[in-house]
Amino acid sequence: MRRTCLLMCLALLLSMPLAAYAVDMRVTSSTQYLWFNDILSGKDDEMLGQYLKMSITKVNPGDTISIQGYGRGTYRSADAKGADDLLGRMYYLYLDYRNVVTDVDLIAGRHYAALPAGSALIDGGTLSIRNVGPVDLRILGGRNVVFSGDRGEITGGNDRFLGAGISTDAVRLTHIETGYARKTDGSDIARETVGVTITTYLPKRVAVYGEAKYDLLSEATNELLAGIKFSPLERLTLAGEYYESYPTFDATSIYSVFAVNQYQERLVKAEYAVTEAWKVFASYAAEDFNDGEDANLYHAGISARPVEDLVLNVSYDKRNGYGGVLSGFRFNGRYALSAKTAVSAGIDRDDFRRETFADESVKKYWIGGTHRFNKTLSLMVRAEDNVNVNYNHQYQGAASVNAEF
Amino acid sequence: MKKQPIIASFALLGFLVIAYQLVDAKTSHREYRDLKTAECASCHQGEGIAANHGALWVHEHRVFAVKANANCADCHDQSSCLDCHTGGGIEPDLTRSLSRRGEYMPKSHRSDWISIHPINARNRPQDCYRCHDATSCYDCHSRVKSNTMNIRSHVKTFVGQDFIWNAEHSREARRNLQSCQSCHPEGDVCLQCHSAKLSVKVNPHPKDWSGGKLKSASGDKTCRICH
Repeated sequence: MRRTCLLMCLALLLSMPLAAYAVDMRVTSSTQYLWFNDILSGKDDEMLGQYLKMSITKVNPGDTISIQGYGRGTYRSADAKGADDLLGRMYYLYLDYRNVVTDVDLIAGRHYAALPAGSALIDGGTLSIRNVGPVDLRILGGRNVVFSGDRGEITGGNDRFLGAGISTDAVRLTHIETGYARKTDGSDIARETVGVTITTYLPKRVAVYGEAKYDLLSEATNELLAGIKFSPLERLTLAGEYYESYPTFDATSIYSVFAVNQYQERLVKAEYAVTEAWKVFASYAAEDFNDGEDANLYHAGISARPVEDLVLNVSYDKRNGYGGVLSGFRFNGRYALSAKTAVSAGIDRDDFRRETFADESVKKYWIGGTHRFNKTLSLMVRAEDNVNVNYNHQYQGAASVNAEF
Repeated sequence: MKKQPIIASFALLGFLVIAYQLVDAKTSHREYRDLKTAECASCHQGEGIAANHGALWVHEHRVFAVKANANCADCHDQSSCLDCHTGGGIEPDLTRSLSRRGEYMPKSHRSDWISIHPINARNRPQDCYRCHDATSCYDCHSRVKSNTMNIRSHVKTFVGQDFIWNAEHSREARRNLQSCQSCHPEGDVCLQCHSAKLSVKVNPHPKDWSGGKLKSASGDKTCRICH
């Protein structure tokens, strides 16, 4: 926590002199208060949170340098074993330097990096080199940062994430990218993966996409996705996907040596805009868990704006098969009382039966509102009542004061 | 592993890519970042580009966002990714509940998530690990008594031990081994029967297991746990 706060303060202090050069600095702040009941301890609890996000641009004449930062601090009167009451998270703080030299970009600091072979939050750098013939290159690496639940960062200085990618857009409206990623756990190699993604937009409103990730250490295809999306009518979008996954583990984990099953899923979905104000959508997924176990998943909903200031959303889900039965609906709406004030409310209800449970039903009722005082300051309040097997009524909520300057 | 679906999928993609290349080049979206999503359709549909950011976009976005030249950043900060993927919530959104740490609960985390998550976690089990690592499961599961678990292999009993140990555990483990890791991060429970150092010595490896690169990656450390 101390290190995170120190880094945030340092970043802000360092950025102050930049104001003298007419840089553009934008800061978003959210101060939050939450109240809830911790189901594990059974006690009422409260939490205070402070988020801060900043963006500094126009640092140099060509506006090729920017500094981005985002972090938070939370305080909670924790009674959980092993949990800290004061926690800090530095999500990112990086320098983004475009065209360091022609066609070379650099990101340095803590940032989120994603490759077809894997993604990670890293303390390090990403070097992008464009137009090396018909391809672009990316090389990245640094300390692998992992946050975990009630604790802070759980990775150390020797946990590293390294990767490289080659991509090409030589074919019009088509992106093909391959990547390699390696994760180390201390001095050992924990993961080594290669991946490929392809997306292409074809005439007649057709998009085709695919992704595959292969675990070099487990010698197995970790994930495979192939999909097609198209709009036969201007207001109708249809899609179909095939997905499979095969769990793989860090080589340093004993779980990496165990036999596992492949999971397969076939999905179809549709979205139709009846009018600009009324949209309907539905999806169906057939899930195969191997060993003769499967499940079916249905999802449908309507999103509507019957009058200008009112938005309504309703959706229904049903799942049956391996793991349990679940059906439920969600309804929520938002009404703008004025340009500055809006109220929202919703109901969630689910009926379910887990494999060894009796039937249960759970309900959540919530209401909230937002008010903007001026261009800089706004307020949001939300309260909810949970009715379920653990609580007759459990009230919890959040209030936040948000500022942008 | 079946390799035919991989080969067939990418052969199909390759064919389609080569067959159709008639439309315009990629457009920067920076100047459109303040538009409402519904307004994007006027260009996207009119220009023949398949629509995105629809009602099911959360499910679809990954392949498009991971691209080196993804134009997500034209409209979104990295905080848009990290508020869901690493836990956060600076942008107020009334339709979402917040967790005990003030973090967004994705829409998939329905009404009573604690009760329902064993069902939902079975759908695309890999999806859990895009935001959570196994230790985050352990934060809660280490505080839950094992005899309150309600899965086939952990049914509560009143004699001898906390739960009935049955043959179902192997099928459950093969389908979602990550969930075992949630409560048994070191696998010590598994090793009581599956270690070659102990008397039972039940082989846990897949068919045709050689260990191969896993063995050298960990410098034999993982192997030596049991051998």
